[in-house]
Amino acid sequence: MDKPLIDQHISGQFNVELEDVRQQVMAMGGLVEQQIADAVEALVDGDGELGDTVERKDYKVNRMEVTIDERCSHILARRSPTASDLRLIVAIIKTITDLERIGDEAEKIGRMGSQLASQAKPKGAYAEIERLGRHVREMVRGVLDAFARMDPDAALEMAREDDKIDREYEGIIRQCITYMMEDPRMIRRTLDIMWSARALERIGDHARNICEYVIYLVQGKDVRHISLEDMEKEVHTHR
Amino acid sequence: MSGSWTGELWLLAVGLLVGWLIGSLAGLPWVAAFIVTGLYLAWHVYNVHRLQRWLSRNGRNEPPAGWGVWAVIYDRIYRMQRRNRKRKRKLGRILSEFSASTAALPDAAVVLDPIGCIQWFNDAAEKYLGLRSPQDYGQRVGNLVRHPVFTRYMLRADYTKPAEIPAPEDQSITLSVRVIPYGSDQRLLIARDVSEAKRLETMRRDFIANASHELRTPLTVLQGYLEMMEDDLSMGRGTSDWEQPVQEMSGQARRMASIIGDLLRLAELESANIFLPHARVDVSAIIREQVDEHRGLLGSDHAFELALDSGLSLYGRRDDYTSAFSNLLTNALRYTPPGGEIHIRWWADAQGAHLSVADSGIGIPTRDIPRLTERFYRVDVDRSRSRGGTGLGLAIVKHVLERYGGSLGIASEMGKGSEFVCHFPLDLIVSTEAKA
Repeated sequence: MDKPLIDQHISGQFNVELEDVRQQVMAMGGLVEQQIADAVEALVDGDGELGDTVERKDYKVNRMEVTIDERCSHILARRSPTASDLRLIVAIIKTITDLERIGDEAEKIGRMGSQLASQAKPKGAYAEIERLGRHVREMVRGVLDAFARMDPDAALEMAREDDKIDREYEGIIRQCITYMMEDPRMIRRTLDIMWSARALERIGDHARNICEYVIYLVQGKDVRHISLEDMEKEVHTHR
Repeated sequence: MSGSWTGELWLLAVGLLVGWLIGSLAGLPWVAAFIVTGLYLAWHVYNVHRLQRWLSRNGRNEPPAGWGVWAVIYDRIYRMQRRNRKRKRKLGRILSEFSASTAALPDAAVVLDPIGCIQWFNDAAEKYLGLRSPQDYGQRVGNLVRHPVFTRYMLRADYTKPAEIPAPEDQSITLSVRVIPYGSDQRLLIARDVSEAKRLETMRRDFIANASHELRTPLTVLQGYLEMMEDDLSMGRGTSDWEQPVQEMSGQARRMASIIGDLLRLAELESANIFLPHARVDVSAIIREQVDEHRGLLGSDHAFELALDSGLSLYGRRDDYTSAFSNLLTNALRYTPPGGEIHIRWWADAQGAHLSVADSGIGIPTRDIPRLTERFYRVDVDRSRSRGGTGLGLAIVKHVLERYGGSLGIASEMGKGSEFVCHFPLDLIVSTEAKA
């Protein structure tokens, strides 16, 4: 495999700067991954303390977004990057926005977890939430791996996952509606579960956005707002 | 024909002389010398050409046959090449054996360059860390192993202790990651699957916690009845023959209850999910409280000497500190004969905050010191039982300190006394402006 895109600079210092920013993005991604894992665990196991921790840690994600944003502006101002470097910076700025939103959604789930911890666990739905949570976390991990390896094929693969997540989400909603019809006393709690599922589904959407940035970054093609099939075509032409 | 360059010189000289003589006969000595030199040069150029052609074919086949100095040159080069090829083959074999053996290691091994880029990794690293060969060569390891604990571990660059993270590809596997610096700024990252050990550890901890919990309920019932019997006996009801045994029984029941209490406390301290609240704890207040309490409780006539920096506070949980300090004090009192002295010092320096509890007691044999903080370890079984300890006190102290990143230092001299020093790291100290 050829060298990473950014490894072709005359100025070694610029290389290091770009690599550093990229590594920070990956570190932020790692933190977000952990937040999702903890939030889902807090929700499923009814661990209120863990839910609180997730809520409290969200500020770290926000702070990282601000730091990375600043460094990107700095690079734009001082180095005026072009071509693939410019695309990298643009992709990073967009990615961290989505990562920050994912962090917010995880915080939401964590809060739901600490609220639900004090109440009795409703039957069912949790297994599905757990599976959806695992699926979403896998997707976020895959997307970040694709970003790290700058691999448009892997990004495309992960973009496909989003459809599966949407279907799983639909399933949970249908199930929740059934629960609510069976036992109206459960409506409140079931609604909380639905909100958590919704948050997970949103995480999937944000992750898909990051896939699009990876494709943009590597191939310079804008694949936003188009269907998956068109996206595939775009990626596979001009290889 | 000697093959050295002097031979070549002779050849040229003789050739020129003969050419000159023949040329003189014809009356053109210079032309003859010129022809001889030209022939000689042509021969050399031809050989240089042959040599170049041979070398450009990597010298694979036999060298061209030569004559004079060229035979020697061809021969030398040929021999050198053969030797090199042999050596290369040998090195290659060693290298491939070596990389095959490291690739077969059960632990993941990754070689990192000074800025953390991946230079080499083995098969186990693909399995545990999810690295892919060869596309991940040159990638920074932090981009692919992104767990916050690992990121912090690499950032701090303090590799004395391994870091534990879940495997990126499979959360159910726990990896113990360790970085070993070597050579010129190179680093070797080793990740080992410790899920099994971790599971056993959790099982052991849960077992102790559960067993202690289960024992507590029946014990409470026993204690309740024993208390009732004691009350009855003290009011003169029942047979006075039972007074002694009942007292003994309730004493032992109390002891059991305190052991169980300590075991539960240890289990809580060991539990993995710790969140340390940022509450300020006034250490000197706790110490004063504890000293007063112990004075009243044991009715001891020990002399206490306190040197406390009352402005020095730590972050943490008050309960943790209280139980640690209380255990240290109880120990000091227990092993110091009446009339002895106990010095307590609380101070901070460039290394952190320290609490020292020194007594003028019986002391501890040097060989026992390393094992003191083990559960139920006793220097002298009969004596410590008679003094009523649970055998868990110092284990609790150690765990509290470990939880806060501190350590326990023990120094002792037989017959003169012992000193226990708790060291707390700097980042635990509440900053100076806050204390003013």
